[in-house]
Amino acid sequence: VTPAGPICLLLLAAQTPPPDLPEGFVGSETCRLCHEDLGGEFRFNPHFAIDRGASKEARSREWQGRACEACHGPGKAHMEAAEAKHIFLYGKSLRNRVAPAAGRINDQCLQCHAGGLTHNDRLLGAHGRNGVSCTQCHSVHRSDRRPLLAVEPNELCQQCHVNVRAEFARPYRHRVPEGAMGCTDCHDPHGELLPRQVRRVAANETVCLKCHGDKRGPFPFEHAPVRLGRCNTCHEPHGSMNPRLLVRHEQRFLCLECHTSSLQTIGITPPALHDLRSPRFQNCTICHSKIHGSLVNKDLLR
Amino acid sequence: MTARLATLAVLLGLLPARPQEQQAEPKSVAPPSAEQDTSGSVSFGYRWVAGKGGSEDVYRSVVNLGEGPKLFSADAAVRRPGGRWYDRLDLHAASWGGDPYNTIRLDGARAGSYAFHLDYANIRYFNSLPSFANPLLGQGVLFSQRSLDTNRRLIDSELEFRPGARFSPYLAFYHSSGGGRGVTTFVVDGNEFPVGTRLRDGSDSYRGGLRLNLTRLNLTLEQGGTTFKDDQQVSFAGGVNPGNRRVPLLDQDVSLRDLGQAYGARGGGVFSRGVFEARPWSWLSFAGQFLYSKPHIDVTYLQQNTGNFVLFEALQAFTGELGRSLGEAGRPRSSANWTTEIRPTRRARVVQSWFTDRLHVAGASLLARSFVLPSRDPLQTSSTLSNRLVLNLNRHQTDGLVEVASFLTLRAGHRYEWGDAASAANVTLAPGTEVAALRRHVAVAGAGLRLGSSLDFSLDLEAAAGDRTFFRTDLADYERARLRGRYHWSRALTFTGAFAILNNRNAAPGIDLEYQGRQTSLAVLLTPGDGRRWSLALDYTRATIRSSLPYLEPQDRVRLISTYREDGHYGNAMATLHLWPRARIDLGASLAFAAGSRPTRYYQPQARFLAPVWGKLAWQAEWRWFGFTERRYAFENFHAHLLATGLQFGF
Repeated sequence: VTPAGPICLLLLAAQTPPPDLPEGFVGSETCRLCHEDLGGEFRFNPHFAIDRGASKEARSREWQGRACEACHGPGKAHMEAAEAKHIFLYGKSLRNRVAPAAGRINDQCLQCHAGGLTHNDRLLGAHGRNGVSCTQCHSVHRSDRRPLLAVEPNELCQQCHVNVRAEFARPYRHRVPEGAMGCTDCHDPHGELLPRQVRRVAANETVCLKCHGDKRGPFPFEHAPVRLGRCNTCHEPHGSMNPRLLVRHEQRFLCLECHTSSLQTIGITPPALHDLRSPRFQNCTICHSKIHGSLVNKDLLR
Repeated sequence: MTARLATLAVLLGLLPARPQEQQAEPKSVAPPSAEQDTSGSVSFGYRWVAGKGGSEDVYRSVVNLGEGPKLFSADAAVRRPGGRWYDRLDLHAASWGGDPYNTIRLDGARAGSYAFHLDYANIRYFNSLPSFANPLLGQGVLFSQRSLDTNRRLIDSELEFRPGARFSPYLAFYHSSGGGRGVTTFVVDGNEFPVGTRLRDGSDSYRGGLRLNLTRLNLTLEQGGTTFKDDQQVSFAGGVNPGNRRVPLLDQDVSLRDLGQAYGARGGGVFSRGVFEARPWSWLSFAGQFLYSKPHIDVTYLQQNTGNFVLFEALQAFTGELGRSLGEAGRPRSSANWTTEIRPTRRARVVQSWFTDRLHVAGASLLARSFVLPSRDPLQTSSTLSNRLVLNLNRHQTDGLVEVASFLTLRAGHRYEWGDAASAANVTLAPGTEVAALRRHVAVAGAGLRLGSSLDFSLDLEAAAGDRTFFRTDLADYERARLRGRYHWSRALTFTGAFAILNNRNAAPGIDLEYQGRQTSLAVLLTPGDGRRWSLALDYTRATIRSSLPYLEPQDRVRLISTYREDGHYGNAMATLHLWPRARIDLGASLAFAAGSRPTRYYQPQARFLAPVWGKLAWQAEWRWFGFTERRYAFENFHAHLLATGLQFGF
């Protein structure tokens, strides 16, 4: 609030709101008189389309000229009393010691943003279950970063997921620190059907196949864990100390941990010709080069 | 009286003058149609790689940054509220000029009319690690027999018309293609030969749909198609390739003189998606989706090879082989989900979800082979093979969430996962079908705590009891906990911590898995005076993995234990010092130390300097150092200095 604010509030408190505004509303122009720090930048914000009546929601709910109150609620009482408690605040402030629960914040945003594919799985996502609200990632008044994120996307994710930042410090990794890809290329922060909010491609295939298209198949001879969407059975997707992002340091251990005949699990012990005392058999993909699935050979040899 | 006070305020400059008619008609706020805000920056320069030592192949596999002129980054953002053709345009390009990761992103939109995005990435992938897939390592040969030097180009685009409107159609296109060279192996009975390969594959995906956005109902219907091709070729000519086997087999050296393999795969498929969300009452929401895809593929394969070989099935030596294979495969897959959210009170929610995923892969192949035998008629064989993979997976979860107070939310629930899988055994010598089942009950709980204005915690707990798993390494009886917290000591100092633990056991006969994983992280962000003079960001993570799982040695069926240990320390640091207006020094490092099964150290210190030259033009310089050491594979160590300098122009 600028130094002129208290005087403005006094002056405006004495004014009568325009007669065609619903009871309790004052309009965005009035809000900007005091919140000029937000008002100036806000005209370049996508939400300014509400003020202009350029969106369907704005027109159907008659929100033209009331973009601020579309999200924060009627502002008349707030204007008259100059107290934050009279409007809906999304975050903490000096007067609002505790932010509203995530569910309430999200309900406000979802009045308009429930449509499309983006938010359909939000009820299944870990963010939704763990009380991460929309405004923890999105800075709604900003306009310089798409899609209104508070900071750069990868940086934003790693502010909370500190341990994942460490995984990307490993030598064998997906090129996220280099900027070649981002967290949201693989994860949908709004929620997904699959664990860890992993995205899907081509309706219901795992997101890994988006870039690794040569493993898409279908192959006449599949390797079961690949097709069951279990790339992380063998690979550490963020980063690994082992080559090829593998979860084990030597191939023979990686393979034989599953390929040991057990009751009720997939994976059988290889025939006895696989003499592990020979280095040839310690490197399984020397022979089983089509480990992700073969077009030709039942044993994934070619 | 009011009007007089307002007039006085305007004269004093406390209130901006406003036309009276605008105040009377707030619905017709005039769009500032001529207003445009343009900003951006371009950063370019030259990079040198200096003082490089150690393994060049490993440097390229891990870092792969090269010398030459570079466009480090370019950004542009245009904002034009109420513009005729667009409201906003954003362009971002990074790492052009021979770097291994080139990206461009373009976004454009006009409110109520369209939204468009285009992503392009060109990824260079080099991987050749002498310690990986190298059976001759013990003989001093530093040559990986599984090496790749490829490029992958990705294009992802989507155009949505009338976003947010009642009916909103959209179109999307995705392209992925890869190509390059590599080293692979050609395998015959008793030996395998490292040979060169040319890789070429591509897949395209097209989809279009319609979104229906109503006040209480959102529905999306989408239809798409994919195409796929793979034209890998493998060849060897000119000389004798002795392969990895160095002892005779059936009294002769098994060697390769000439090889040609040509894979030809052409595939396609369709997929459909129907997604809806309904909110019939304020206390009740439904969401559901149905997903279906059916890719298929047709395969032709040709192979000819000459040399000295042995056919195990006939215990017969042969000198040449001609093979041809025709195959096909299909993979229909259906997935569905239904979620119900009930809000009986303002502070309570119950979320119930059900998910099913059903996949069936059927493949068949006809292989005809002709063997050239010494002093005999050729041997002709043919075989028909089929393969099958089936998955039925289901998940049901119920969660109750209660906002106990404005600062505390508690959550508890139960998840049941069950299903079955069947796979035709892929090993010729032990044919048959393997079957497995999944059955797991998981108790879930969590809490979100916000104390005062500066302390946030979230806790996520799972405890499971499972008696069936698909694979031996799967989660069975496990406990998982994740705790995250953030404390704002002051506006200038923030602490973030995270702790995660996973204990997994599978005591089923023949498995006896024990797994423990722990991660403890702490981050500090110090920004006195909003970071105007200096700032410091530090984070440290201690991560440990302890895994032990018995396995059978194939040659003698002796039970041994596969143990994996990782004891890692990881850290990142970045200090920024603002020397004078728009002049800045960044000093930082990224460190990874891991002991255990593969002891490795990886250091990446760096320093950057930015100084204004004239107007919005600035000079930048950067130094980075990469140091990589492995205790067991010292021949893979490398180090390199990277120096870069250039100009940055803002507008």
